[in-house]
Amino acid sequence: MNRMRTEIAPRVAVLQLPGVNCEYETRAVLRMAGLDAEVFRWNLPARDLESFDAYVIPGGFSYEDRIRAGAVAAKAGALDVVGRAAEAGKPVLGVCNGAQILVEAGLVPGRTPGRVELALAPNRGGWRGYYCNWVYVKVHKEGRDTVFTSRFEDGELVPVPVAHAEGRFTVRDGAAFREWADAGQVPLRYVSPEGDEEPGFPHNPNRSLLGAAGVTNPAGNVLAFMPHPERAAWLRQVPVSTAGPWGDRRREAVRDREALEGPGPGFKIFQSLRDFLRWDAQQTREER
Amino acid sequence: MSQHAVIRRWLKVADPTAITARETLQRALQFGRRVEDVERSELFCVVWDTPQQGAEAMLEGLAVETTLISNPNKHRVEVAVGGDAVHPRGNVWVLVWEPGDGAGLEAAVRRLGLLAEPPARIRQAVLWELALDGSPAEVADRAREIAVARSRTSGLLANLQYQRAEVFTRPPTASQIVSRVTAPETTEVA
Repeated sequence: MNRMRTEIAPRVAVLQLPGVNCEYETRAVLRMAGLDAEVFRWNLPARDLESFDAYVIPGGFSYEDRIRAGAVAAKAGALDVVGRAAEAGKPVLGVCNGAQILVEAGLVPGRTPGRVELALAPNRGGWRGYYCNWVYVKVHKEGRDTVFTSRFEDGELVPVPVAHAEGRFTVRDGAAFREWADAGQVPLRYVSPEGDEEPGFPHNPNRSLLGAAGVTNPAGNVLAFMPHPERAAWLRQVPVSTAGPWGDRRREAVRDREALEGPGPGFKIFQSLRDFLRWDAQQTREER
Repeated sequence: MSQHAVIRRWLKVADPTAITARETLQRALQFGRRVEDVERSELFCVVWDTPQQGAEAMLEGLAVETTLISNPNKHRVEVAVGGDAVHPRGNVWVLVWEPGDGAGLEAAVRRLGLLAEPPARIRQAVLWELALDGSPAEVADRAREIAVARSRTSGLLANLQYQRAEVFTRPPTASQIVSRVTAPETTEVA
């Protein structure tokens, strides 16, 4: 069949670095969102990455978190390609360890692309070491959409799981971080189940600055997100004990297989990415 | 007058984190054979408010007889007190620490009563032990370049957004290490 260009799904590379462990469920969620996702091994020729429309660096423990989480993977040749693609405007999502890699590679906050301007430091504030739980993040649009948050309402509460030991967004110059937040570069922040801002532990699981859970580059096409949206992509993944509307929906869906297979709270991140890639493809076609 | 001491702990077998650092420096950051080898020790910095008789023996007991700081099956340990230097491998050394790291260990040592005289402070750090090729000046410059991750293509061992680092061209003394690691928020790379 001679398929029209409009029917071809955008291609997304899920970068498989040694030690990551969420690549296959991430690929599954991207495919559910209608994207042509494939796992790309880090030791394939890095130039083969150039043909992809977007990149996801999944969670796990690349290089066993040696030296610092993400520090070694950030130096991999594949990150050169991803960095150049990000500067050209292609979407890049880093989840958990992927977020740590983007921070160590200087893609986020990306005020000077490639410079290390931020850290994901060891958890502090009530818990030291690895922490795993469901938390709430609140969407802060600050008057603009990013590639990954367009499907959310401003102020929307999103239950999502975290699982990390080094997830504290921190920076030497706290005033700079607030400027980035005011400019919309901190669109996802930990809150209490009631939506209270800048909560303590356990709602902010690591004492992250301003409760930051996700930080973008200035253009909003690169997101470093510590929670795992791919583990909250189907309603069945949401615990029945969850407070709020998502918990109500989950409890109502008990024994309703069709409803349980429906989208969960984290799926909008991938839908937002799909929307952007389709819009971008449309723009490219129109320019031709 | 306070007293400073350091327990230095390293693996009996090859340290995989040090090997990964060496490989990353030689290949990804393209230092090649200019970085001959990398080793690594973990440091436990102890401060007492007053001088302690037998501090060295006391800390050896803490390190060897309890499993809180070292496991004799896999670690080697040395203790240095005051102006005594530690004896690391390599020819230039990068001390990396996060201010405040080690407070949990300090609380545990106090709570469990593991030292006859409870220390005022215990903090942790890492000592990177680099064997670099070149003249002493080149070695020092290269160690500074390696010490701090400044960009995707330069530096590795410390992220100054939350860590601190200092390069030593001679094996540091216990007092030098402890004064850096326990200082209030100050030092950048020297």
